[in-house]
Amino acid sequence: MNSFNLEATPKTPQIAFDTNGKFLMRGRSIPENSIEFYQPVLDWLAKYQDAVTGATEVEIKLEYFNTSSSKCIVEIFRKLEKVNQDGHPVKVRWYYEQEDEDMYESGEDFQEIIRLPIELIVLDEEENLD
Amino acid sequence: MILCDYRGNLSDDLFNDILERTEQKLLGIEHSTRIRKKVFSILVEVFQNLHHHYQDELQKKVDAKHQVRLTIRKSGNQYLIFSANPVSYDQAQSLRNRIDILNSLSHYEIRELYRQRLSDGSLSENGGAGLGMIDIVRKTGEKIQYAFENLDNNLSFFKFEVKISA
Repeated sequence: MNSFNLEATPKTPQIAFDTNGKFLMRGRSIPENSIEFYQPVLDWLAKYQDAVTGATEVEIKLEYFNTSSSKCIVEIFRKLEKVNQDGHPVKVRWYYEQEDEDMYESGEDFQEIIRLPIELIVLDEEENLD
Repeated sequence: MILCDYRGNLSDDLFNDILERTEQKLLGIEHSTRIRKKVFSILVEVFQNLHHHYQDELQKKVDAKHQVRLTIRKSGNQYLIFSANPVSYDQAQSLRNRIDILNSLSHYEIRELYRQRLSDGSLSENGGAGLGMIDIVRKTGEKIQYAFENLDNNLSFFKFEVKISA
């Protein structure tokens, strides 16, 4: 099984999911059709569910995401819930910019509906998500 | 101050262009990251809502005054995003019902509704999550202003405006 990598574009995030359990999503997720963009990620995760042997650490550093992406992010988390339930621990770090209360609240939404440990973390000021 | 004023047909390229230019203008006039991001992300939802309801055949039935319209302006310490588009009678009824319900809910109820839809709804085939309007109300904390102008028996011009207070 290979790692899954996509470069960021002005409307879609960088995705770097490696088979050793280091996952990163970073940038903007505002595609018009988010299923088209996320389906390959979900397909990869379906294989990862069977191949995983250790812990998974997910870092999410999004500047923006639209509501249709939010449904796909839920689907990603649902796949990871399964990994976690199968005894391979999954941790999520959800980053937000200091002032960005909307992104903080989104993190709280996911904490509420997803059965995974999700930590909300303020981004360093030097780190720019553009 | 007008940040954007567009009238005509819709396309992905056009949207990318409007987003890019509006973002540049926002960077120049709005120093609060929080407000800038709010305006930008609401603009994305408003546009994607427009796009999901967009029908070439409706657009062809209306005169120049009733083409799709999108304007973004700043007035005092408020940003106003206005959109308008021709819709069928059925679409008008459904929009009216949905917006009236959202406008009647408290901030807490809106948040609960959002979480519930996020957790168990599914995506429509064009990728719409049914979450866009809820997200707009939640992020602005304001009621949606809307009106329908009847053009003929089965055609209305839907006008929609949201306010973001800085």
